[in-house]
Amino acid sequence: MARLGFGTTEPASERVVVALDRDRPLVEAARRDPAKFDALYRKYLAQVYSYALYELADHHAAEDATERTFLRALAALPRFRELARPEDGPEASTFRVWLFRIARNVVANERRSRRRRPASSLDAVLDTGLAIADGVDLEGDAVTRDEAAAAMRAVRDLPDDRRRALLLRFVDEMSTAEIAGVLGRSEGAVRVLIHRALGSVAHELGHNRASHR
Amino acid sequence: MRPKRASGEGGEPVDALVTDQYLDTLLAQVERRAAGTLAGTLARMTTRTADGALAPEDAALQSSEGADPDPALRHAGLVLRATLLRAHPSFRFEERLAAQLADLAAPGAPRAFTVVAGRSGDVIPFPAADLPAEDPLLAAVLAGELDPSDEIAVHRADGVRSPSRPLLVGGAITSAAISLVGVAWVAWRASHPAGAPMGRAARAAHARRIADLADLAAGIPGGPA
Repeated sequence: MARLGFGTTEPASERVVVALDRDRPLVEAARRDPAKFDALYRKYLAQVYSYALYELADHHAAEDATERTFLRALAALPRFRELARPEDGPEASTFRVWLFRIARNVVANERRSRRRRPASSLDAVLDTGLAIADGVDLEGDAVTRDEAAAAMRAVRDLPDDRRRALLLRFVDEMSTAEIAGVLGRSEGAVRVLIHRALGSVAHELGHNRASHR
Repeated sequence: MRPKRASGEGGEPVDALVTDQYLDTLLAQVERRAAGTLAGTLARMTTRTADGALAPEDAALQSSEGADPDPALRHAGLVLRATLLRAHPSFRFEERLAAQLADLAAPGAPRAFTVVAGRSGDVIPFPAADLPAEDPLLAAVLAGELDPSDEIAVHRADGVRSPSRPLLVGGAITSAAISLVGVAWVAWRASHPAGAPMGRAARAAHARRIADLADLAAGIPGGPA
């Protein structure tokens, strides 16, 4: 099985496995009775779906990816290994990291096969973001629709690894350590990815403000 | 005044750490239970500066160690926090997938048998009801032959099944929404190599037609001489 630690570079033999994964009771229950997997499914459904939706910019493709992710996760649950460390804190969930590694692979396959098929418009990403935000009255509140559009444009244009890190941070509210686990990078590398991604968004927002003066 | 940090390669990890701490605080401050209340909550926590940027009104949004990231980055963080909302799939989809998972989990569920290509070609039980037949990798996961969290293994497994795709005809369809006749031609052309007698005859006829058209154009007043 692939490394599941939270982005640590230390060899597996030196890692100490401790009982602090916040999803441990649910995972153990699901291992004893697979029907109990439903609790984990309900808990993480919106997170996995949102990640797939922002990555694929297509509602149906996101549903397909979500379906594959959870079916594969349930099928592979007996082989899931918990590898949280004390320094990961009480909110750590290696199950969530493992689940998102599966989601990342499903989404990556879908993106690869899309490159072989007719490509959807890149602007769909922008539309997706704004469609989600449609339920919220952004105008007159904290963020104008114009700023939201500029931010989504910047997110759309980010390199893959920066975009993924940013989405996991903001949409799925993962810690840097968890994102490192999902992407298979060090925590320092993830921090730099997010910092640069945020810089690109800030640049686009500044450009947008200047053009409206 | 905010202290300047070293810029360039050497200073970036420090800046990234400060940004990370700021985001930790920012994301922890606003509860994201209901997307509809998010912007309002954020509006109460922020204020606009003279240049139109957002700035945190609440001192708690300042980084815990007193170091602030660049104001432009803080503004970008606030905008992204309000824009990148979490979406929920439809209730219908949620319940359908829940039923599929229950089906997969049920010990006495009706199962078909599928041969999974592997070392020994073992026959393994594969859930029949309502599971996506177009996901061959699920069968491999069920057989214990594929770790779905392993990026390289999944990439390789996906590559194995991809050559069966109708790449040529698919490409013809993609490349410009050409007509069904065009697709049929591409398929026919692929199955008839250029050296075939039929191909040579078609090219000769095509060349003759172009020559005839050129002759015709030469006879039209004002046409090419």
